[in-house]
Amino acid sequence: MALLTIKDLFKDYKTGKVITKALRGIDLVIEEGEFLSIAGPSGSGKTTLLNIMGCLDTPTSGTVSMNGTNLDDLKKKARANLRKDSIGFVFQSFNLIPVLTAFENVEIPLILLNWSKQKRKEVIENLLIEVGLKEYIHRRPLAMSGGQQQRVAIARALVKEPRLVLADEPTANLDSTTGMETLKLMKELNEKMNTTFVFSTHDKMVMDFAHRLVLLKDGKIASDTTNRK
Amino acid sequence: MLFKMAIRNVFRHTRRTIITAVAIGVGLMFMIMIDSMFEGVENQSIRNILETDNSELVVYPAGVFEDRFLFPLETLIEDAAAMSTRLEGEYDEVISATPRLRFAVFAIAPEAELFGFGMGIDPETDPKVFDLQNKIEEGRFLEREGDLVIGAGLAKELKLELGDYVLIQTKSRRGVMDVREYEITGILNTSNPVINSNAVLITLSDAQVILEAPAAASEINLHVKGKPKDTEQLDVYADKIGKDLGAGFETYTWLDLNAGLFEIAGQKQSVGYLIALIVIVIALVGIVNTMLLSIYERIPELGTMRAMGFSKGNIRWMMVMEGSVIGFLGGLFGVILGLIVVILLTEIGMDFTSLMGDFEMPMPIDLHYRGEYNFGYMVFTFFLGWIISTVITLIPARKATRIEPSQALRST
Repeated sequence: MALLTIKDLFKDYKTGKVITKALRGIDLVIEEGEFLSIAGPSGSGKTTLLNIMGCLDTPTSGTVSMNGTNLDDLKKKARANLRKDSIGFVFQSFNLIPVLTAFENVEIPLILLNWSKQKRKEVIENLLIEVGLKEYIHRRPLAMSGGQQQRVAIARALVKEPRLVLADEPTANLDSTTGMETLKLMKELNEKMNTTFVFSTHDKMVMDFAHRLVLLKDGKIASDTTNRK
Repeated sequence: MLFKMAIRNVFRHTRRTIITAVAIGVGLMFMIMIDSMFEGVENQSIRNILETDNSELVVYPAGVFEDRFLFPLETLIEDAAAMSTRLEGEYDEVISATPRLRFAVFAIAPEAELFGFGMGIDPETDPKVFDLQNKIEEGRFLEREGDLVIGAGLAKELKLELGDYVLIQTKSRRGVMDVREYEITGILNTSNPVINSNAVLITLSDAQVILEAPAAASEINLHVKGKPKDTEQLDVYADKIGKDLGAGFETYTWLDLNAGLFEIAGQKQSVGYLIALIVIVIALVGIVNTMLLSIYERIPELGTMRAMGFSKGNIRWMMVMEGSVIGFLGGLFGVILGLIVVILLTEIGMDFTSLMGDFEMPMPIDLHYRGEYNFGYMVFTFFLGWIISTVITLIPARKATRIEPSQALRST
C-alpha cells in the first residue's frame, strides 16, 4: 500500500532575481515499510524533496499525497499536526536540544502528543535501552559522542511510532563504523516497527544498504532501483 | 517542558545573562536612588518649614494672604491670644496654637545695614507649635521682653555676634518710624534660608508695643493632628475652621503657603518618568539584543522544534519566559542594589557642608543631606523592570516565530 505518492513535483527557489530549479518533475511512489535511500550529488534536490515529504516546505507545482491526503490542501496548522503525529525527523547534525538530556529530548514528541508522564517514562527508557543508550539516559548531548547523539535523534524520531521517518544524511557526520551501526539500527527498527524510512545520502555504503535506491540528478530522478542483496 | 527549556537556555550563556541582568538592575537602582533623594529633599523641606516658618494650618485676617510678604499691618488679628486659646480649646484636631506678628525691619549694625523681617513670638506657646528653641546656635531663645534672636546668616552679613548691639528700625501701624537698640541674646541657625538670612525674632509683646498693635498678630499658627503630607485631610480641617471663624478670616495649609517651593513635587514626578524611560530603553536594548543573539545562535534548534510540531505560540512563550527570567533577575538585583544605596543615603547621608561653605541652599534643606526609605517604590521598580523585560521580549520572540523550519534547518 502506498504511503506517499508524489506526482510531477517541481520546486523553484528564488534568490533576488535568480531562480534555482531544485526539483524538476519528480514522480515517486513510496510503499509502507520501505527502507528507501534518495541519493545524488550535492544540489541534486535530495533535501528539498525530503522537506516537501515532511511538510516542512511546499512545492511550486505538483502534488504529494500521504495515504491519499494531498499535503498541499492542508493548512499550516494541519501540516504541523501531521508532522507532530505521523512524521519523525533525523538530521545530519543530529539537532538535539542541547539544554535537555537524552531522556528529555526523546520525551518532547510525547509531551506534544499529551502522553501521560508514567507512560512516557516507560516507553522512553525502553527505547533508549533498545538503541544502546542505557548508560546515557540522563546525559546532555554535548556529553555524548556523535554516534550516541544520532541514536538519541533516532529514538526521538521513532518514539511516537510515526508512519514515516525522514533522515537527511544521517551518517554524514559519523565515521564509517558508527555510520554503519546507525544504519543497522535504523534497519532493525524499520523491520521491527514496519516504519517507513526515507533517507538522503551521497555515501556509497549507505546507498548499498537501502532496499531501494532513488538516484537524483539535477532535480530529476535519474534511476530508481531495488537492491536485491 | 518549555519553562524548563527557557530556564536552562537563560543559563546557557551565564555571562551574557548576568551582563543583561546587571544593566537592567543598575537602571532600576538609579530609579530607586533618585526617588530616595527626592523623597529626602521633600520631607526635609516640609519638616524644616513646619519647624520654623509656618505650621500645618495658618489663620490670617481676610484679604492679606496675597500680600503677606509685604507684612501689612493695617489688617491684623485683634485679640490674637484669645483667638489662639479658643482655637486650641475648641477643636480636637488642633494640638496647639500660637500667634505670630510679622513686620518689615531695617537692621542697622556698625558695619552694615540690611532689610529683613521681624517676627513677634510668644515664648510660651511658640515652642508648642515650632521648634526654633532647638535651633539656637549661640546664646538663648527668647525668654523676656528686650531679648532678640537673629538668624545666623543675617548676623554674619551684618558682622554681628552674640552680645553685640543692633538697631531695629520699623514703621508702626500708624506709620510712625521707630528705632530701638537690642542686644543680641541668641543666634538662630536653621536649615530654612528664609529664617536664617532674614529673620529677627523678638517677643510678641515687644512687637505689639513697637508696632502699636496691642494684643494683635498677623497670623495664628495651628499644629494639628495627622501627617503633614496628608494635605487632603488638612484641607478638610482648614475648611471646617474657616467656616467657623466666618468671613473675617481665612485658613491656609502649609502647602498653600509654600506652593511655589513645592512645585518640586511635580518636577520629581517628571524626573521619575524620565528615569523610568531610560530604564525602559536600557531594558529594551539589553533584553532585545540578548534575545536576538540567542535566536540567531539557535536557528537550527528552533527549526527542529518547529519540525517536531512545536507551534509558533510554544516558541513565543519559551522566548518570553527567557526574557522574563532575565528581567526577574535584573529586577531583583536592582532592588537589592537600590536598597543598599538607600540605606547608605539614609543612615549615613551626604555631607555637603564643607563643599558648599557659606552658600545657602535656595530650599529649606540640610547641607547634611539624607535620603528616605520608600519600600513601595522599590516593589514598584522591581515589577516595572520585570514586566517591561517580559513585554519587550515579544519583539525578538516574533522574529523567532517567523523562522520557517525548512530555512532554519538549512542553516544547520
